[in-house]
Amino acid sequence: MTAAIECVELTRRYGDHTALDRLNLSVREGEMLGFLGPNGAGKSTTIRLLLDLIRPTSGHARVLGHDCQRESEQVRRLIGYLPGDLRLWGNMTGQGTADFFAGVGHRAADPAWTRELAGRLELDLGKRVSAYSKGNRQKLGILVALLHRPRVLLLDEPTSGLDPLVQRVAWDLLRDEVRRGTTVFFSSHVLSEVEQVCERVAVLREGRLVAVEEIARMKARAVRHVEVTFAGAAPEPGAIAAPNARELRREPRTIEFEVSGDFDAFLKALAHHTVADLRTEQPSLDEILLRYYEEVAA
Amino acid sequence: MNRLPLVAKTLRDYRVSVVAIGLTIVLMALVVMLVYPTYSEALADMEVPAGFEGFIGEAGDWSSPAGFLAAEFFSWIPLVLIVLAIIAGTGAVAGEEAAGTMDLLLAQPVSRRRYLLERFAGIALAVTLAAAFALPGFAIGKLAIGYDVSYWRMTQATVNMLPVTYLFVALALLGSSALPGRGAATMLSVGVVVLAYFLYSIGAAVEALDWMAKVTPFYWSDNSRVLAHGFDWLRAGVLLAVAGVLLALAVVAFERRDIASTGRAFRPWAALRRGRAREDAPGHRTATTPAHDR
Repeated sequence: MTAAIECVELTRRYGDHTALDRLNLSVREGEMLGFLGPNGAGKSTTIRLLLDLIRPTSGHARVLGHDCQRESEQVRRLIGYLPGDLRLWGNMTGQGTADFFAGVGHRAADPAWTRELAGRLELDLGKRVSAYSKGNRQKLGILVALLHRPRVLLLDEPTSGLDPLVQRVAWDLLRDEVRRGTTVFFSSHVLSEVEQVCERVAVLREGRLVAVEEIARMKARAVRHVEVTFAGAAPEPGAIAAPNARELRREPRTIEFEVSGDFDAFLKALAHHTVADLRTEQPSLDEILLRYYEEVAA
Repeated sequence: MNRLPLVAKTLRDYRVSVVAIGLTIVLMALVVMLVYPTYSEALADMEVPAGFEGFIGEAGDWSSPAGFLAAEFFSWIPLVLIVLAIIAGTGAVAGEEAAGTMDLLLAQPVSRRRYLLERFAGIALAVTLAAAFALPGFAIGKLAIGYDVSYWRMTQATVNMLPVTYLFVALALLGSSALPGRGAATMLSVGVVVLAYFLYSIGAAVEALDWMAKVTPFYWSDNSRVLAHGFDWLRAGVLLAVAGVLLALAVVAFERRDIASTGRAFRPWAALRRGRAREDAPGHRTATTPAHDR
């Protein structure tokens, strides 16, 4: 199967600054992939390279098999895009803006679909853009991106500026698109949101891809803090035969461990002792990512 | 569906300017024609100010109807059109980039060449519409006082204002495609207008320096000549050819370069400068957001 998005050694340098460093990334068709990283990590650079707004220093990228530079127009025909810093013309109405973008791409907009999108997003298309709130402008941006039912959606921070209720509506819309087979590639730094909507994330830091992984597996590999209270006295140090567990704190009956990687092995080792209580916390994606960033920085 | 949405948008964006300039043109055409009878006698004895000959040139002397029209109307109305051409031309590329609207525009399936050509067509149409306001102005003037220049010649001179204006549309688009930002593009275009106007004035006044006039577009768009002898296809053709070359260069420059991200000008040397700044501060590791990747 052709990948929806495929980046091969994609690199962009500005003088001696490398905005994107040999990115190899493959996004499956019909997948919703979160693209994470701190500001300036190269997320927007990647998206803008895919759209041929900027040119790679080396490497290349393909969207549904089409080269992003050589066949850029075809690529852009397949893509719906929402810029990170969306700007529209204040003197146009919402409807005018939608019609204009449909016209620029020489695509007939389906009025029923436009109405449905506006209805779901609760957006009044009759108003001028200058009269819209920031949230409404963002809604219009989402509507424009979805207007021609693209096969690939590139969304740069799609829900920024939306209130939580509308965020949910927007994600519902996007999930419906994914169900139809659309690929959604979106950048974000709101991790709680990413956790809810996608299974896999790509993590970028200082222009380098540091991980592409399913969130569940990421979490499975993450370091957890586990506080175990034993029925009797806590076992001697080293008595629990789990090499991936490290003692952090010890009380007469309680030990706090830091467990990295295979949680099951630790539990099996623990099972040789009588456990009265066990407390652990779900590692947050924030913490996991922070660790990724630190590892790369180190 | 609108087949040429960028042309339509350009017209829409500049409709107020087109009407304002158009009304100025109507008014000026009328005023010039209406005051001529009163002025002509006084003017017969008056010296033409130095540097002004070029604009009257072949239309006879200042006191003749054609000469008066050339000097008082066609010497400066084209400049008004050129100003609109430059504002719209620099706005079409560098302007949209600075406004942050270019990303979403060019993310649509439209080639950069098509984008630029549609924009050119839109601006050319806007200045043409503005110039066309001269025609009813001349018609009314002629009906009112029977000005002694044929309406056909006036129409030809009006049309003759366009090739030079198109040339400046193309120049503004080139500046905005090849230079960093709208300011630089405007400076280039206005600089060329001012320099050309200056050279033309000197070249037209001093015979030994007439080559100076010939290198400027104003020589090739001499309206006094059209008023006296009719439309000159060759001269108009030269201007249109230069406009075509400038437009082609603009397309090449625009196709090859990066689009500036939101609110930033396209800065070819920004990366170099950043590199140097870092060398200046050894050991200092910047952790700020790179300018090109927000």
